[in-house]
Amino acid sequence: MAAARLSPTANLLRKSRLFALPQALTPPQEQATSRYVAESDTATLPYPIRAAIATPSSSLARGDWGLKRPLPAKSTSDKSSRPVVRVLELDTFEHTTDFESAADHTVTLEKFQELHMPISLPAKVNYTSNMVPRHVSPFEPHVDNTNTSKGLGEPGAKQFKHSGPWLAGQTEAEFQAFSKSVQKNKPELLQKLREYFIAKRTAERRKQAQDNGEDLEGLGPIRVTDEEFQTYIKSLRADPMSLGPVVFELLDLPSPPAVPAGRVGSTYFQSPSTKLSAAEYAISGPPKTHPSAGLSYSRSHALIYNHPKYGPQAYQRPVQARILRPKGRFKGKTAKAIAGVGGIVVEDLNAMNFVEQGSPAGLATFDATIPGGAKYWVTPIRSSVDSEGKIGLSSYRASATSKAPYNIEQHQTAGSYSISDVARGDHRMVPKLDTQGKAGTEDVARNLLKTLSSANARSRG
Amino acid sequence: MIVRQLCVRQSRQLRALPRPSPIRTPILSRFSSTGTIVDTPVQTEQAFAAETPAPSEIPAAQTVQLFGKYQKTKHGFQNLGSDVRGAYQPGNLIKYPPKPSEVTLELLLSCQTHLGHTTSRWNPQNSRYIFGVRDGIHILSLDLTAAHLRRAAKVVEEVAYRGGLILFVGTRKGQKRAVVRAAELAQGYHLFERWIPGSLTNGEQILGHCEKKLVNSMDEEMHMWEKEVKEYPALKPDLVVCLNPLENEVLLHECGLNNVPTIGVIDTDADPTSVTYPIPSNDDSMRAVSLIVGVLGRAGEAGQKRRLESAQKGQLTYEKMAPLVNFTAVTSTSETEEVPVEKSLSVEQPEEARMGDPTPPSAESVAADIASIEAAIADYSAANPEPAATESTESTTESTESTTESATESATESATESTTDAPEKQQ
Repeated sequence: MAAARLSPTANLLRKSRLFALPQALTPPQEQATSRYVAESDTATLPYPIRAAIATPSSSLARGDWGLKRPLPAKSTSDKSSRPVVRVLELDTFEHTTDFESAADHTVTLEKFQELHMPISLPAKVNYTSNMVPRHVSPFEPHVDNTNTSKGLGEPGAKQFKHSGPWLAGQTEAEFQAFSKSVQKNKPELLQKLREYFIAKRTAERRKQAQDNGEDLEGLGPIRVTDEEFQTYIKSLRADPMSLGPVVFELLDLPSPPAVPAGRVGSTYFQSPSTKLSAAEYAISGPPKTHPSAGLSYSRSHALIYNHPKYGPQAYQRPVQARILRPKGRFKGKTAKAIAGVGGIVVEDLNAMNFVEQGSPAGLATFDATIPGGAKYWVTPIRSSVDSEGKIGLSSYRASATSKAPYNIEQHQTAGSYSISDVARGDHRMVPKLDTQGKAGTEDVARNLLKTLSSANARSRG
Repeated sequence: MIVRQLCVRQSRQLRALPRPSPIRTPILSRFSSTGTIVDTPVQTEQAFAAETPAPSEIPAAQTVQLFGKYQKTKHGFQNLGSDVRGAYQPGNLIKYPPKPSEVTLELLLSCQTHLGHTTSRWNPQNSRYIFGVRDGIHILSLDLTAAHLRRAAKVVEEVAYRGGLILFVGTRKGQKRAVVRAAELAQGYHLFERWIPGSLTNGEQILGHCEKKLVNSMDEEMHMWEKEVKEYPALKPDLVVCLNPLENEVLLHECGLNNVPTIGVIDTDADPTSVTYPIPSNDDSMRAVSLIVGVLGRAGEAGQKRRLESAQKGQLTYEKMAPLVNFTAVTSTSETEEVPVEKSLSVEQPEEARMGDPTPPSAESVAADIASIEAAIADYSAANPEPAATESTESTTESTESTTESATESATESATESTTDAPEKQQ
């Protein structure tokens, strides 16, 4: 046993919390494109690649995070009431521990969990129609399978992971390496192909017997001679249409993106019907993690929100979305408005390209007069994690019904400017700043009477 | 209330400006106007003044009663709630450090002693302490840390047992409390600021003016030989515990020159030969350092306790000091075989009743008790003769070191013998 050979020290070290921290994931890859991609080293990554570390408050006061050295208070406890850090390097040549705040991801997760959204399987949200794709939870038994799951044997079972690579996402070098490894495994693959052939022949034979009304019990095992097998291989080689599904089956490859209809020739390597749990995965590749990405474990959004005064509500409390970019022309293209909901960038579903009445202020055009920046209320309806690990959240504008119980008011831009007389400068009076200190009781009483009478006059008028 | 929408200051210059008529230039007129409602503040002040009730004065007796009631309620609720036990409280590591026998690998692990420096910073002499590499840093072996820590604890204990003077040095930020606490436990001395270079090699000049005191075997101060004690040369520690050898190279070098044994926390980038007894450990983590110095302080405490116990029994754990004054007049008759060295002492020595000796104190018994001289720097307050009391003082010259004249060699030698594989001092 391997564990028995370990010294007590090694065993302790292996079990320690610091050593239990997972290795950093690879950061998201840049798109292989000739287009200009605006990127930043300090931008929040679409998904966390390092574990976030927290420490109890008693240790935090001492800067003790269980690391090589205490972390400075200036960038941890002085900056935040609940600091969370991620460690980039335990020690550097400069005798420092390289770390940064992990609040970008932890707080986003908290905010996302406050939305009470279940994660759905990704699906293309069509902006032209008001129909939102149906929610399918990735935790449903028939889609929650990997290539090793037992549930894969069920009829109609889908899987989110294959053992083979997604060929469409491979670079040339990766593909060459993969094809080399396939060549190396030729004997095993041929054996698998033989089994596949036998299974196919057995099924055919059974079907034939069923059609002829023969006794199914009496059918013996099918024997395939080498000659028959070679003939089968030859027939496969001659016909790409039938070879395609066999290749995908043998190598357990995820299905490729659909070939555009215009490009489809008379003969091509046909791919079998997809086994992936979502059609989106065939286009953008199978997911790297479980489709839920651990963001939420609830299966459905069929919750009822209770309002203490008005009772059960159809909608949950709307959340505020900050308008990051109003709709309009962006980089020479008409673009939809982009908003941020709980730290997640969302395209405004309702934002039509034409001018609309009663849209929230700041959504159509940039409005600098709105205090605190332009915001509006939304109701999130669907969330999913795509194969690149980005959260896709879609939301509707909060309806009047959903906003009503919570007394939520949209910011109204004033139609006419109401500037006081003072601000306009119509009053040509200088305040008597120095009279206050010296004011005797008589003056005070006089002032009081004056203001009272003027107030009365104002109220009457 | 004064509302200035456009940040125009009222001033004489503005008034002196030719004022345009408001009709023609309405916008410009805004800039020259600061008109506000004048009387409002006066009015509101009055209104508030009228409404605010005079602060009711609660009689003192009632306050006391209320406070008593509050205390009673608080006391009544104190027993409620859950009883949290075994929770980790970081402060306890310094307040109640573990004994050397209580040091476990788990404790060392949780105190981060295993985390070395980045691999590019290593000193290859430390390769024997290194367990492996992980995440770009060297991992020190917990077994070796524990073994070396126990050995160092034995050294400290024996030095304390032999009445040696122990100096705890931790000059990094944040190590102060742990260092002072360890010195307090071991009844040693501490240094948490800069080591003044030359304090050992040129001690006469730097520490010569320092206060010294003469104590007996029970650590009671003896008021005798005042003049001679004052002229006594500057004292040297018998053992130096250094928490950050990298920063205190000068100190360790001086210790090497003066044959003062040293114990040091050696991280993977430090030179293990710079100290006599290295303890391979992380020296950056406050927790690791406070554990190590706390354990050593506890060891010193045990040694001091043992020393005082044997002193109670009348056994001196170190060699007696030679008398500072040459006496010719006094001669002793019978007790010469006990203390042959200190035969000649003046009869006006203070009485020694502590030994429980029914016989009148002889010169010999007094001399036997006069064991060590402790030195303190001049600004060391006379009211706080305990070394640990320096914690509160802010003076820059905290470095107090001292030595016994006669006990030095014996103590260090015996301590060296008590440990098995003590490497020889390099310097």
